[in-house]
Amino acid sequence: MPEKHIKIAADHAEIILNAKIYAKETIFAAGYVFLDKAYILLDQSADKFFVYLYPQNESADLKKLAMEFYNELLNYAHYFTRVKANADAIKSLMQRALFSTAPSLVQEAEEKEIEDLIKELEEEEKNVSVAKKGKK
Amino acid sequence: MFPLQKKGKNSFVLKFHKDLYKQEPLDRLLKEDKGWVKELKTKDKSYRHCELKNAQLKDVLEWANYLFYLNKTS
Repeated sequence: MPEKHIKIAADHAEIILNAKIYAKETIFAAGYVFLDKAYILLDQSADKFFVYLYPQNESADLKKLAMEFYNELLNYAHYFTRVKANADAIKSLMQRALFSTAPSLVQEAEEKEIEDLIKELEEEEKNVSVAKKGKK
Repeated sequence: MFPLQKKGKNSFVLKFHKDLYKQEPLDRLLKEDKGWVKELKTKDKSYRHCELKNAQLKDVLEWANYLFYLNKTS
């Protein structure tokens, strides 16, 4: 696997990534961690991303650097997947935390919900009466 | 396509894919560093080409890293 996706040149490593697997945000997040140990250039084609890593320490092992970058990519890909999967739970926990510090917000939220329900019912009634008129 | 090209003795050209690098941070950096970095006018629809004059490879890579940082944080 590594030989196909990692190319080692004299002064840099090239990493080829499938754009269907890794998102641009994941690459930037992983690259951000590497800013103090490598210089990073990016490129892309229709279905691939290309990451060029130039080590800041000239004696660094290029292959090891590239493999560490892969690990960081996996780490962030997992992180973003979990955030997406748990978005509803996170939102619910944040709301609960917010409401517990400001109880007046609970009342406001309830009032808003009641208002929305009333509006919804009124609209339904309107639609029903329009439909009845139409039949006559 | 390799995004870094050496042009002459102490000049380099960096190519930034428009779908990867945001416009605003690059514009800001070009304005800040207009003494030694300028954007080249090309018909390339996918890339922005920047020429860095009187620079060593390390300076060019540090500049590119700063652009990467700005892209991530802005």
